[in-house]
Amino acid sequence: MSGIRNTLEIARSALVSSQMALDVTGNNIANANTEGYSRRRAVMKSEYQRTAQNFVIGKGVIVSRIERTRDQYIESQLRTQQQSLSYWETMQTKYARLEDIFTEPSETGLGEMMSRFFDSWQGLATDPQSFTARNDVLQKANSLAAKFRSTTKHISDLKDEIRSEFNKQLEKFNSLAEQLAEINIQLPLSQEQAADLLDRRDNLLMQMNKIVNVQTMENEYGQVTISLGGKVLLENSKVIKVVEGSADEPLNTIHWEDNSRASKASNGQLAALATFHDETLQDYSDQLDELATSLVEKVNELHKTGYGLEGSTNVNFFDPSTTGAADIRVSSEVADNAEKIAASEDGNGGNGEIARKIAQLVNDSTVVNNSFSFHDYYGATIARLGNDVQDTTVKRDGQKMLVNQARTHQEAVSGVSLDEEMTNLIQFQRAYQAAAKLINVVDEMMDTILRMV
Amino acid sequence: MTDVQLQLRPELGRDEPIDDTRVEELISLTQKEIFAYSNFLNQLLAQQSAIIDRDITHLTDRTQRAEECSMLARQLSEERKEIMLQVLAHTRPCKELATLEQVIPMVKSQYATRLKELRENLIEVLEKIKQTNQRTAFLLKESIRYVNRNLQIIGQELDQSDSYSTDGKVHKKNQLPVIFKIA
Repeated sequence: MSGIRNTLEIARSALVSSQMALDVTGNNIANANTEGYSRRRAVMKSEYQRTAQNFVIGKGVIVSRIERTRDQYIESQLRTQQQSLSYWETMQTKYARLEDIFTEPSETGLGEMMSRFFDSWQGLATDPQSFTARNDVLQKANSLAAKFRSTTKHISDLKDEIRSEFNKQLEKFNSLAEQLAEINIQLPLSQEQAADLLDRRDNLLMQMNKIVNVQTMENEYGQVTISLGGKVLLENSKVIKVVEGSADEPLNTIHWEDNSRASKASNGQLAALATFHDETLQDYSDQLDELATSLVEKVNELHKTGYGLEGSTNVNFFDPSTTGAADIRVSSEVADNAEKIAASEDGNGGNGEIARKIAQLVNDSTVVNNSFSFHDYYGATIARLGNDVQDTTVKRDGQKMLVNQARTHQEAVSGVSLDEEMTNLIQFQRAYQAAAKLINVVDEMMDTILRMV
Repeated sequence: MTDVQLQLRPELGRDEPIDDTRVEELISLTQKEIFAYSNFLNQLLAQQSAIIDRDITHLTDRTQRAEECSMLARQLSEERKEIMLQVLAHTRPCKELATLEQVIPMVKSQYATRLKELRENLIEVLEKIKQTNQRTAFLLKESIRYVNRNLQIIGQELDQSDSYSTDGKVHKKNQLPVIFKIA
């Protein structure tokens, strides 16, 4: 009787295991296109039991575990490459925004407005007593000053926008850390769902690595410990969140809720945002300021030596309290009375020598930092911007290729290939076919041989 | 299984002595036969494990070895049959019907005891082979069903809806053929 019971038990366990293996294969096929899904495999194990006589006999088969096929080294490589890709993607996007702010070359760009400003002085030089010419100078000066101010304002707005985006990413980072803590809690308790939890965990880690370059360690249950710049922010279920910094300190200063020493991001979106905010935008702002203050200084220097139509002298054309591109404007004296524009060198109304000299400033190659003309300096700024945009685009595209390569390696290990599944199945079929032939032969043989005993 | 009755040939007589050399040869051969069938049983069990573990390489290898073992074991059985016929020739048996159970009462007691033991061992191992074979048949049947089902899923051969021909007749979709059927 025990032999029959044993046979039935073996048959039952084989049936249950086959069903489970079928479910695993079906799940693989259904998730062939699911991002982040890693192929599963049902690992079968023979079951044994000891009899009263201490013999070991077979009891059938069980599915000992559902394995997910994943290579940790490739995963780690992919995360690192993804950090860099996120960095360069963010930089490229922000540079493109900066390029839009400068709108060069165009009719409404700063370069063209500077040209028109100096052209208007040339016009005044040929007809210094003309109110039309004087109003033209005023209008061009106001437009130029407004353009300086608006460009600076746009850069400042972009800075604010970047800071806001940075803080949003910090919130997202905290949320991801909390979700990972949840998974850390569940992993040791849910061995049946471990594969799904680990897939979710890897997905969250990938999102986190896009934001900032964290370091990850894994224990035997798959629980992760995460650190950033040496600071452990997640261990088991404990999370230490990041908090926003103050507006008057560099953006790349990541504070922790437990007031421990601040960390810095060196890769990922946060690093890109911080670099662009703290360094890139500051550089371009400084250059605009340099240009504006040089313009104010050089124009005023000449203007003060000249005479207005009504005989006024020592008048500033631009407001001398200008600190930079953010507050450059025409002086109130000149703005209120175009006659005060000092075109004459000797006080004669028909003399336009000062106007001519101011117009000629456009060709002076020592007006900015004693080394550049106004246009050369601005041109170099724009050229540098163009190069930076191209450079980040190339780096972004190159990094994309590396990420795609790492992803291909990952897919080769973890991905579900229907062709491969089909090939495996046909191989199984052939092997079973050969084994089944033997079954029939043995069956007949036993009938014959037992009669001979 | 029932033994076949001996058919005696009167011209030879029942009391002629049985050649001891032949009996010893029979004992030796039966031992070898039991050993060969034990090997065969081991290969069948390993084959069963390979099916459970879904190890194709191992399965193919074990199937081949099992075939080789079965051929050897069968050959030894045939040789035993020949020797039994020679042993029983003195008692004039019918050529096709010779079993150990018939031989045992015909030989000396020390040989009879040994042959009885060997016979029991041989029956035991043959029964185990039969059971193992039946279990393996069941596992294979389930495995083939599972493989075919998966192939159907991959080939998306699940649509069983009917189709209409140009003359408006409904064509019922035939059951899609299973790629392989186990007997």
